[in-house]
Amino acid sequence: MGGLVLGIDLNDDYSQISCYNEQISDAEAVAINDDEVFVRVPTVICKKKNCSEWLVGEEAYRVALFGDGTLVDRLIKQQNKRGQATIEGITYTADTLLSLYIAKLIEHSLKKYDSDCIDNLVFTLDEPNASINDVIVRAAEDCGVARENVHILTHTEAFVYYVLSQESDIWSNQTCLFDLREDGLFYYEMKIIRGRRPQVVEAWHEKLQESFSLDILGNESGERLGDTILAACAERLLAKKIVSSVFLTGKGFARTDWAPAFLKLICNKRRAFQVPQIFAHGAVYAALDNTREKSAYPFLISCEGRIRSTVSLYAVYGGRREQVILAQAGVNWYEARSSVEFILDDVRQLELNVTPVGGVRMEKITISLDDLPARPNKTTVIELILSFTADNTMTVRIVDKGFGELFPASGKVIKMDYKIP
Amino acid sequence: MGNLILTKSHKAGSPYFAEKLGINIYTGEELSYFIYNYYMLLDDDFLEDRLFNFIERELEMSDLSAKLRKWRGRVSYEELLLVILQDIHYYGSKELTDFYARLESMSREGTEYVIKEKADYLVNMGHSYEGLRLYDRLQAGKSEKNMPAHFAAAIHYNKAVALARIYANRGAMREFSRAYALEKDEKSLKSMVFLTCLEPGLALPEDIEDDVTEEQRAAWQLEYEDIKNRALFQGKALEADSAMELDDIKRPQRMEQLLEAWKAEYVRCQG
Repeated sequence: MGGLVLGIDLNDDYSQISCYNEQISDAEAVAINDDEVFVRVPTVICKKKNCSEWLVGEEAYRVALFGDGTLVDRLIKQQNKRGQATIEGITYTADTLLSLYIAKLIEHSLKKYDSDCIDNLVFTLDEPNASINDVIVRAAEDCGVARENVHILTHTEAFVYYVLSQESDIWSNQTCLFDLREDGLFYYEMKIIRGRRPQVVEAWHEKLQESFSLDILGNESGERLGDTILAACAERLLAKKIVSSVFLTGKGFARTDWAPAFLKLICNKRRAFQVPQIFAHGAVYAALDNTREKSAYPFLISCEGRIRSTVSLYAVYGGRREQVILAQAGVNWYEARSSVEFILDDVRQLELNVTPVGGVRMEKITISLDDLPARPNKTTVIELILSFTADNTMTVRIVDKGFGELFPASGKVIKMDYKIP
Repeated sequence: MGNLILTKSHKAGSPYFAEKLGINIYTGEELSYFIYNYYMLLDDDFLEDRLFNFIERELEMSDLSAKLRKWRGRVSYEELLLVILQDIHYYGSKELTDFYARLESMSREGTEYVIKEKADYLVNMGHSYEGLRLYDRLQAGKSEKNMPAHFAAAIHYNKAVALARIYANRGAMREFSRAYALEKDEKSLKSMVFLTCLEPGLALPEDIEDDVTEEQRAAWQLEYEDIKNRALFQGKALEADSAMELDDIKRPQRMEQLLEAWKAEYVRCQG
């Protein structure tokens, strides 16, 4: 393995980079400055005045503070809003600014490890969507990372990868994570459902209503209030659950001395860990797994960002009727694209089977093919393309491919969107 | 209930050119369809190295090509075709049984019947010259007296149709009249009247003239006019007509495409 294996946690507030270090056989945080201080890189970008240089993170803040450049922050939110910024008379789209930011993170990482390539790169975001994923993938490609080596996970997926990479007694029962950030308090939970092959990992997260601004931690009474809020949350969320371990992450848990009651509660018969880079490290473990021929995680992961149903249909192959899996439950929705060609033999409609994880009843989706051109039997080839725009939204496209030069393709496309469980 | 067939065969980078249809074949499924539906067009040299190399290199079915090479000359032509269809799995067992039954029934019918059926098929596919060669072979090979009258009349009739298709109207008239001499069929009479309409300088043979009544002649002339009028709104006339409706830029392009296609078809049909 010659290149880097990187994980990047992209947040609106700050981002974090982790890299797999072969010498310690583990992930390590990457600081983007020489003095190894800033492992949290503020998600801001600054263009230096009257030159083409772009700066990111703390350096960007510093330059902007001295009035030597123009700063743009909230890059993720800006991209979601299709925003733009005008700097020195030139308008930059949020896509461009985010791409520049990502390029800088990659550039710093390569420089730090004196490497010129990346073997695998996994980004993790709170709420990925098709638009931002496309921007991220293109930005990585522009930095020379091959498309197939770039992946995007939700924070929940990254949390699962992190936990499953620890010793098994840590995740033998339920595992929880509290993420206290500027933009809120988030709770994650995962558990293993045993007795199935492969074993199923179920995980989910929610933004808690009890969140508070980190500014209140600036004085003693605020700290006491924060501790009370967190302790109440933990009591409610952990009650009647067998929890093996609790993880803490986020800027709010950079130190924990302000929350004694909360700590006492979560440490009661449980193991607690403070992991500032949990999502970035989780992304690295996922990236490392991508470089392996066989996954080291023999689980079906059912969580946000992953398809929760298997989509299949029946077709004849080599003279036998067999099930053809078009999308497998547990696969990241952004990477779940499939394309298969079939010949229609007296078929007027397609019947897709949607089978949710966990044995809930199978659903059937029927798609009429009446709009395709009429031809003799067995002389229409269709390409069935399945893709996803979210973990529960599937797009089916059926393209008429004709039958060679005997019956040329009409180019007709049937496109349908479906919500799946 | 129907089935979806998962396409399995490799798509050829260098396709197999089927001269008789003037098309390229890219997949095993297309090859199966070609054999199954156009087996009458297949020459004796179809099962040769060009096909075997295509199966081996382009369809990446080396087992099948090895089988074909090994069995060539040892098993019948029909059985080799069946082996190809079986291995590609485009047709089910019932369709393969039907196909084999068709081939067997042809071989039971005797050589003359097979040659005639092939000639008829070629003419229907537009390969008039090749069809004519086969009709000539039939007529040269065996005395007409030794053939059933109906069969001999059908050969003359179909040969006349093939000749008419290449505008050899005098020869066509001669063959229609021979068919009529062997079997007094109104169909032959009507075709001869049609020929006189098509080529006004052409007259009905004297010995037949009296067999056509004035009413028949009038009715068939009307029918001919009707067919001629309808021909303006179908087939190539329609293609040309729709091309004329295009704008000044697209019209010549489309016309050129049509001419190319028709020329290719003409060359293909010269045999």
